[in-house]
Amino acid sequence: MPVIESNELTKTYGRLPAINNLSFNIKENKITGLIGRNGAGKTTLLKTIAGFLKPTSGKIKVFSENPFNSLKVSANLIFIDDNMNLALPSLLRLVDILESAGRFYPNWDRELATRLFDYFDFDPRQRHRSLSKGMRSTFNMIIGLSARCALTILDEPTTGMDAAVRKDFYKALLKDYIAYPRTIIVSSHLLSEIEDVLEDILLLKDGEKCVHLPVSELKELAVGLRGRVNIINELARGRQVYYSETFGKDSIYIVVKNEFTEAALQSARLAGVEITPVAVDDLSVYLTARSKGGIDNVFKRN
Amino acid sequence: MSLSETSLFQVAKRQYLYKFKACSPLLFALAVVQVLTILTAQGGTSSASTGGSGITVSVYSYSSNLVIANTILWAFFAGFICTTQTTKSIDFAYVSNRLSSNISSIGFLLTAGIAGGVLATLSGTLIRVMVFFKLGSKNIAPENFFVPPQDLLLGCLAAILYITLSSSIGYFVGTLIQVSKAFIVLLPLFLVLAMRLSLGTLIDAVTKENSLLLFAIKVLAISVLLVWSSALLSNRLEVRR
Repeated sequence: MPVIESNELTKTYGRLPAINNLSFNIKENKITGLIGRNGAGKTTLLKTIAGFLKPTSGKIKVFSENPFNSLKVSANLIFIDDNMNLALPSLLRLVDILESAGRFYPNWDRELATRLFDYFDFDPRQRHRSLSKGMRSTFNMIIGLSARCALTILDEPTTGMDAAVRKDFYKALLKDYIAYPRTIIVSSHLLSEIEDVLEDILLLKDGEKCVHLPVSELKELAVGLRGRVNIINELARGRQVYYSETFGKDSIYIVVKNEFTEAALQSARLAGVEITPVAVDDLSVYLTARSKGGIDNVFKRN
Repeated sequence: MSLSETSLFQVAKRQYLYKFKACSPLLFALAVVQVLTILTAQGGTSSASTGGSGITVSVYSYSSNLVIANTILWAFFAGFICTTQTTKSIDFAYVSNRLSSNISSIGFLLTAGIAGGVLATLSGTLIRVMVFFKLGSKNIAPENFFVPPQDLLLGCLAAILYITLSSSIGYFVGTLIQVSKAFIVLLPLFLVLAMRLSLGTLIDAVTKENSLLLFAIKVLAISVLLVWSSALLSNRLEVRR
């Protein structure tokens, strides 16, 4: 049974659509990465799932219920984002915050919270607002993991964290997930860092679903071809080209949907074409690009 | 992972208890308002002087009226602040829905209002004691210096009712503004219009009531109506944080 079912979900702010006709399902106990450019509708989608926002049209179901105003959904879901500092009272000390969070969530793991708290060297008497950006994200993550909710939503959880803390965070996430499998959605820009943790990727582009695939399939989705322009153009004919970049006069690199037979690839190789796999984060950039050629086109003035 | 079940009552109760920590600045504000007003009341809440042939007589009266009035004002702002996005997002950081958030806010306002009302009424006694030590018994008119307990109790009840009414008005006004920012302009307009149409008589009909029981019934009915409409109106509101 899917934990989240979205059916032609649309959410507009005034006349601007943030999510447009979005249909997808997320199955139980999967870690899904929600990936997309700035303004692709990631946060809006997550807030709609959390029941903060009301869909303009279409349907969203979480645990088979409409999340808006559902106590059952709220009790089994935790939403962690950058704006937690607005939602956590400024006068409370960090220990008080952990204690109060623990009262609300029946599965709260007090020991885990304390251990993570000590590991990351937090001062119990500190206030949330006096924390640095990275420390704040780390503290929010402690709440998110310790609450151990059936649906855990982390919106840009690594904002401001340094590289070491980010690595620790991914490890902690994975370890706790393995010990207590649950549905987790992580939205992030840093796909290259997080792709090892993820099982599925939901890629959004301009509020619409671009791709929803297991990471392993996404890795195989496209292939990079590099060689002389006429040979490459021949190979790419009739196929979906995600990206192309020219080098010098006669050399071109394209990323194209991988529908080649092994034999076709072999003969291409013999014709001097360099065939490379495409990294998932590069591919996601190409897939969500607004125009082909990317930023380079801006600087090409002739 | 199996889903945990919870009830509205349980969530609202947890939120209610949490509010006393999370919204402690509001309680602190109440304390500051009352202490400051008690201190200023030392100068006398009203005074009259007459003089002639080299003698001047000044009469100062001391009472808790100002403390109660300021507590009523505080209640309006407390009700208002409980409806703001900042306060709502404190609820929605953890388990919550709009109904539980409303119930816990109202419970909080009611509890704080009762405490505020009792303290404000009792401040009359405190002011008398302080004045006694400042001026000495010779300079105090003995009439009404001692307040009989039943009068004090009556005062408490009346103060609590006024405070409840005020905070539910604040809550309703706050909710309206959350529903649409247009009410920031519309509400003062409505107020001016109401003054013109002498709706003051309507207010008098409610507030100038000699029977405490009737007064209580009127105030509670209006408060329930305001709070209930607030809950209905806010049930569609989105949480932004």
